[in-house]
Amino acid sequence: MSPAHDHSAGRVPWLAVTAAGVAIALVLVWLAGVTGLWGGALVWIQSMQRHFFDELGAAVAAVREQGGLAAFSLIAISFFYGVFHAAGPGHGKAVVATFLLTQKNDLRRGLALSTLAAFFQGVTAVVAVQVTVMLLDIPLREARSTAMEVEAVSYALILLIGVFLAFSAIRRLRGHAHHHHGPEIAEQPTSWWKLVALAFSIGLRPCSGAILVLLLAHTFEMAWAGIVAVFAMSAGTAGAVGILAYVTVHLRTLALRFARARGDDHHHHGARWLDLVALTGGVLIALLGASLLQVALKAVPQPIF
Amino acid sequence: MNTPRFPKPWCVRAFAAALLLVLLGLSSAASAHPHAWVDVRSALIFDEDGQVVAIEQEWFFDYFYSAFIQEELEGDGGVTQAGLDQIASENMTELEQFGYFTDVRIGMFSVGLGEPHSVATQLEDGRLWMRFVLPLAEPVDPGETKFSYAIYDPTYYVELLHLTDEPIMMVGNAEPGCAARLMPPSPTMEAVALANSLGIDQSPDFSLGELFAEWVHVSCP
Repeated sequence: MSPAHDHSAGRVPWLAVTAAGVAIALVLVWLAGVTGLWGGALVWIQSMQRHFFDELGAAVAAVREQGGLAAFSLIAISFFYGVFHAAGPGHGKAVVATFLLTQKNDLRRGLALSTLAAFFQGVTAVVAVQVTVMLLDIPLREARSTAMEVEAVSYALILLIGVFLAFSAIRRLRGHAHHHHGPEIAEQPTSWWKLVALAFSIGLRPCSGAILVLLLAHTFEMAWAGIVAVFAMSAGTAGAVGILAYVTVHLRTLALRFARARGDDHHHHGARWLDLVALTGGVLIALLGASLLQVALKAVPQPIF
Repeated sequence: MNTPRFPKPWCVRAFAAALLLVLLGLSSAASAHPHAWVDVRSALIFDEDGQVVAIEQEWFFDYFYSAFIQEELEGDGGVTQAGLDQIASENMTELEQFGYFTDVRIGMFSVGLGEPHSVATQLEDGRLWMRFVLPLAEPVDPGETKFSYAIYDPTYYVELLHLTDEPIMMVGNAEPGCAARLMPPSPTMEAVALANSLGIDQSPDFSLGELFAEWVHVSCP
């Protein structure tokens, strides 16, 4: 059982720091909800978002008027927008955190998942806008909502992957009934293709900010500036979600270490409860996908926007 | 086959708490995401008797929406005042079924609205501007009853907020001492979670915007 045994006491402070940080964050969130600060924080996030969109619009216009140098400010604003957007709550992070918390993954996989998801999200926005604008040749006002319709596919895929994860956990649980002497079977890390599939399904939901910037750049006939801005956003998002992935992977390792240190008979039954956790995680991810899909499918048409 | 042995309960509970937190974070923000922004300026219009008869609104659309409209008009042969007027008139027609995004109340009761008039529009410095006067179905005496209004998209696709640092104007014969206070939105965690978790047959889409609405409270002596 590698995480429990192959680290010396020298690694423990790191995990303790992570645990303390998460505990403090939990208490802060709880306090914020109780005191009403949460509402204030939410309003603040929305006002920051509003501010960012103003800045992005102005930055694209500045590139048109001033050219090259202004592109750096567009890239910088886009990057910070990516960080900000990813730091706020959202479905991608919920899926990533649930996945990393309930399935066996190393840090390398956690970081790869966050980076790939952010990159796919950038690609989705670029492709969606190119296709709607170039091929369909519809007004940009409609192109924007058409491009956003890809999100339903993203949610459906997340639902499917959740179901798949749940079924693999069930298969492992069944397997243990026959050979319960091999508890290590469940501790296989997630396969890479599963990881890429998950990153792809998360990234398939285009970021509304990316779409707006691409469309605006298109109206100014500077598609390249939009694409550069979108990948700066992806870089920012990858960084912020990467931090979440780092914390989550460590949190899981820590929880497992505690569980194993306290359970006496762990070598025989550890894998079984881990499979139950993996099953829960799969079900949760499927539920997330289902609820998002349901909301996306019944979205009401906007009167003027 | 032995019954499976679970880790100590506190560990499972901590794990469940962490998962719940993740879900909460999701549900609270999944729908809380405006995609368009409008800066609003509004004014109360009073009649001779000091009663409120209408609300005048000016909308400043965001940079992106403005650019899309501009592109649309250029595709149709150039940005002209006639083209802009056409779009404004179409938008007013579309907004009718949404009550012009305007929620007027006496105490807890909604006030009926009339037909908007004096619609005007312009494109200036890359921003689209639209103005209209929205009459109330019946004049309201703000000295007698608690009178308030909010301008918001019930689906929260568009976020409409008053321009900061600009007071609500009062036009016409308002009683001296009349005041209009702008209350910033104050959504609670419970309300947003509830709006997001409504069943299949109900639409959460129509309850979210109200939680993020700014309210103007009018009081007269």
